[in-house]
Amino acid sequence: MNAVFASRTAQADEASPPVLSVRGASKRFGSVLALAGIDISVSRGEILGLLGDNGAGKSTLIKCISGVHRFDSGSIIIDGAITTIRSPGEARFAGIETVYQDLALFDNLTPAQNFFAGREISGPQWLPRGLRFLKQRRMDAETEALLGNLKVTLPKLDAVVAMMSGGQRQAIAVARSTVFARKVVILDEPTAALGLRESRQVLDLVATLRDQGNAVILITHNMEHVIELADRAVVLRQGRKVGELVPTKDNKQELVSMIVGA
Amino acid sequence: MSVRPTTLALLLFFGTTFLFFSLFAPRFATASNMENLMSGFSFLAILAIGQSFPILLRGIDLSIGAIVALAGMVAFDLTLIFHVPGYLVLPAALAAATLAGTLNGALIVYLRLQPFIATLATLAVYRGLVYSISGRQLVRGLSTTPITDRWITDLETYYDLGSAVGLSRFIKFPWFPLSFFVMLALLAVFQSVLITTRFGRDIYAVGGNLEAARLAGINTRRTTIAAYAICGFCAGIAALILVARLTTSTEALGTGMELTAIAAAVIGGVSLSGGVGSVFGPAIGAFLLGVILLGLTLLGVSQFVQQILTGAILLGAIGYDRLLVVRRQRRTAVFLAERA
Ligand SMILES: Nc1ncnc2c1ncn2[C@@H]1O[C@H](COP(=O)(O)OP(=O)(O)OP(=O)(O)O)[C@@H](O)[C@H]1O
Ligand SMILES: [Mg+2]
Repeated sequence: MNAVFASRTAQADEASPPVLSVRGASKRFGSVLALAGIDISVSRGEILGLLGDNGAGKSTLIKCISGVHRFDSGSIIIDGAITTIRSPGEARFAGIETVYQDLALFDNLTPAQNFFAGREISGPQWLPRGLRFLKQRRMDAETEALLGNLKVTLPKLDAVVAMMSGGQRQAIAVARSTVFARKVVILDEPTAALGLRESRQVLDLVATLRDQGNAVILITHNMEHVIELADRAVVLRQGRKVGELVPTKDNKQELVSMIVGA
Repeated sequence: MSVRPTTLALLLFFGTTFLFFSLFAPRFATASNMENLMSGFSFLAILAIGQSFPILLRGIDLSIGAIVALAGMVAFDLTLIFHVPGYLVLPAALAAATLAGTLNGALIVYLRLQPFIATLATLAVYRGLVYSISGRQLVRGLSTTPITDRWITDLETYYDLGSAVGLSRFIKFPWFPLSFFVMLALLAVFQSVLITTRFGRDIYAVGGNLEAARLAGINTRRTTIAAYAICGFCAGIAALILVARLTTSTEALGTGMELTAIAAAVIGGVSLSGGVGSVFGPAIGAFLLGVILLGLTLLGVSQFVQQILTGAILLGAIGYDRLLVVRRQRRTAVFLAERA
């Protein structure tokens, strides 16, 4: 395997400093205050559950972290240094991978082409970026090996993803983040509307991401998944952070009432 | 990629049509008719190759006919009014065409215009520009002066490959026009750019899912502008071939060619909904149109009926494309319904 797949060993040390923190984040869309002074942080080898009702501001928060939107005010601190993220490309460069809620896959491309979209293995380096030749066979081989490692089975690797089921597509989207993740992986409702078996597969992938030593931010409406996977949970309501706790079977009810504000 | 079965079907259809006319149209399978096919449709294939780039991005370029006229008139003016030597006229005309294409791309990217609207507007702008810079109007007597610069007129050269390889002793072999080889060269270059380079992959990514491409860190603006620039460049090449053939240029040069080029591209398997196809199919599509039109002419079918048939073929190709898209969308709809 080469550098792309090099996995780090987890250092799930409670005391380890956060790899990513957000301080005082606010964001307004016209008259809608989508985020009002949010603070969150997440460490390596940790899964942070991000909870909240529809429209609470979860997607907005993570889109600001991954460079799609920008905070009106507030700062992003990566490995202790204040970092400006102005575009998705810069977020990736800073080591942040995101699997978006609305499935940022290319229907017309194969799994391997999806995996490497925008960062294809290519050469020679002296050519301008656009004219470098794709090393398609190598990308295919690496994708196949990786999907094998993650036990993701696809019927055909050279078919375009439009032909694949919802679970397979979601597995591809999540698996893609495991290839390139270096620090932080953000997953926005990765199991929404997946069947039981497919959800299981995606949740296992999320655990793999954590075990590789990534800090993971997981957005979901599924309490069971939060309790099973998340080390901590942050609850948003109408753009405000209304609570933070370690989710267990016993405080599930407390968590639910925080979310709905009852 | 899912291009292959479509390309195979296209080649099969091409072969069948060719065979049909060879059997039933008088003088179809003759050397001189093959010369007509190659010289009459190579420039159309070049236009179709260029048009594929915007369509692959889910766009369209309606202005290429006007760009042909613009490049043609630039060549006309520079040669006949300013007596610029041909080896400078050629790059200047190509630069004008490429610039016009780049402007299309820039309008689409920066003003966020629909490609259809943007290029419909520039179609009018470029055509108007052609009239206002036309040396035929500005200088008395130029409209009957032919271009004689060898650099330009030599583009209309034919090669007797049959004699060169000794085939002419057995059959009458067609002479190959230079424009055919220019077309082959452009085809080879752009096909390999599309399939083997990062820029090519970016085109498919942007055409498949613009938002996802942006999120993947692809420079979608630069990719879009480059695609329209390539389209303009190809229109420039086509213009030079036409000017060399006519030894002059007119304000109306290229009128309506955008539709034929779009037809060839769609027949060639480039999906109007973006991200699917290549430039090989459109080149075949252009010659398929050529075979049909030449064949019908030899069968004595009138020009008007031919136009109707061309339209019908285009409709058929678009209908087939829509069918594939709807099928794909139904899958996605089912999937999204599951998620909701
Ligand atoms: N691009 C945008 N333009 C305007 N308003 C927006 C935009 N994106 C989000 N909003 C608004 O910001 C608020 C928060 O939306 P957000 O998408 O972050 O919610 P969410 O917590 O992700 O909800 P869900 O669970 O339904 O995905 C909503 O009121 C929404 O209407
Ligand atoms: Mg959301």
